[in-house]
Amino acid sequence: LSSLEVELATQEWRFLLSAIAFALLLCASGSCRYYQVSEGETGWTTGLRESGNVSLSLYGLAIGAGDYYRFTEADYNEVRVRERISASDGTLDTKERLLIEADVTEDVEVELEKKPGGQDYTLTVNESWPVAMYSQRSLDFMGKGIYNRDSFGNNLDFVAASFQRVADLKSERTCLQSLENAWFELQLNNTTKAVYVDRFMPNKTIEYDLYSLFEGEATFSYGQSDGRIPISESEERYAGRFQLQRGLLMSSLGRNFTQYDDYWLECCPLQQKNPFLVSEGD
Amino acid sequence: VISRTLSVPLLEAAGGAYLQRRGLLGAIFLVFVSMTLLHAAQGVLAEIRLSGGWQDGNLSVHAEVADDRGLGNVTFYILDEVGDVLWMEKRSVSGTRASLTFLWPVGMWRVSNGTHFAEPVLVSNSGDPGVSGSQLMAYYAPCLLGLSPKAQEISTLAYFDGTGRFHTLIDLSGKEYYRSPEMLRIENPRATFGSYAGSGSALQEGLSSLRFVWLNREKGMNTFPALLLNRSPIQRYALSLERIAAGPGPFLVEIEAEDQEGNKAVGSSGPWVPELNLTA
Repeated sequence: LSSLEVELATQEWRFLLSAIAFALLLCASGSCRYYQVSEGETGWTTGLRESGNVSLSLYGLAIGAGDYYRFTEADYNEVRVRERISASDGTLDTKERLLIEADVTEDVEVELEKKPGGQDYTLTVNESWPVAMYSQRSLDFMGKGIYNRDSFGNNLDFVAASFQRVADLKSERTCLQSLENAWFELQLNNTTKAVYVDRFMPNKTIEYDLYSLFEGEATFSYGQSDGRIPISESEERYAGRFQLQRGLLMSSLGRNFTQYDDYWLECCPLQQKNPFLVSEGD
Repeated sequence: VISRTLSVPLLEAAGGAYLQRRGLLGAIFLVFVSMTLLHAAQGVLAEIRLSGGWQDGNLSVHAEVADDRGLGNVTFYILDEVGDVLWMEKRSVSGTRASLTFLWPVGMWRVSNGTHFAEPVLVSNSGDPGVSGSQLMAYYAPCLLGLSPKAQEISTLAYFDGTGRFHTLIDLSGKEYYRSPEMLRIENPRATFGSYAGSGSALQEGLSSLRFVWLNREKGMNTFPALLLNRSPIQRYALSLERIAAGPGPFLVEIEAEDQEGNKAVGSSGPWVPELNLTA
């Protein structure tokens, strides 16, 4: 809290003092931190950002006959996993692994800059609270019925699969999510409250693989956002007996495009992977 | 009605050559067909009289078998037009004469792992009704087990109950490779299947596979492509035995009688074509 206030105080931001609210607090446990930056009149906000210096490792298996219920939920700085499994009167074999690492050591940098000769301001929030989350589950069920839904979200990107009214289900699913950092930028006129720029640029990745064989109903969906704007989404529904296999890799570099130069691709591993790039002479 | 006897030297030569050529398959062949043929001895034996007809869509075959040396087993085969065995039923008999009726539901056997299947698979009825657990071993099918993709295959018998559920896998030396939850409960009521699956089952989910067998009475044995065991052991690897329709025919009936000394005789009848049941 004190570091943020001191830093902000040096930026001559008092013009917006009444409008912009900040919070950066330590959690009771001492290991987690959260903050939220908002501009009151325009409604602009970073949203509540919360994470901690934590790690979690969970693994195990269950095999047997009868009923089974499972609830899992975790959210570290908008990197989420949510699982619901409810199986009745059947035989089940499931193995799982959940690994989470999160770090909030770095302070969040908030800067407010007034452009000369007007009432235009630029507010930036530079957050480096990385999160890595790996979830793996294999599930094999035969019986009266199973409901199985899992969803993963990473700063407005998501992928989800659900199986309903399924009497026979075999699934293998892995999901690796990472968040390196996030960048917020707001440009507005303090008189008119007109927002010129509203950027949210997290450096994030979701890598998801699903193999399933089922008899019943299933839904698979995903969504990808550029900043706060959805740019790609899909939903599939199945009813019957299907083998469903999906692989998904969504990533966002989270770069501030004002820093791009003409050759920015050279710095990035995507250059080698991009099938649309051809070398000279091709 | 045709009755014929088997020439022992010819069978021995054929069986030996087959074993040389087929290796493991020969071992299975030994168990199911050739063993009895190789042991077939010495001369002519059983007298077999067949009669039959269609009853309610099933083929009913009546066999009168006589052998002064004492009867052992009588095996009933249904062959399709190219000689593939679609159905096989074996019965133990005693005395010098037997009067047997076989009912064939115009079906054959399919084995499935949930995603792929093989048909017509060679399957035989088995089990002594008085033995504990025998209801779980009503049928057996010979197969070659590959514990892993590059492992040497092992000749085994897969046992199924009367509803087609898979219960155990045993090799020719008696070694057991799998035990279903029901089988485990009978043999050890206090054992949990989870602990058994973790250490007791030799099969490896997603790696082990079974190649089932089909038999042609003229050409001998062959195997189907491998069925991968990619489901959990508690789901019996999704391995199941299913009776399916045999097709339009024609079909041939063979009755093979074996006496107490291992001598064999075969009687055949056919071709049989299922009656069309045309109703307005």
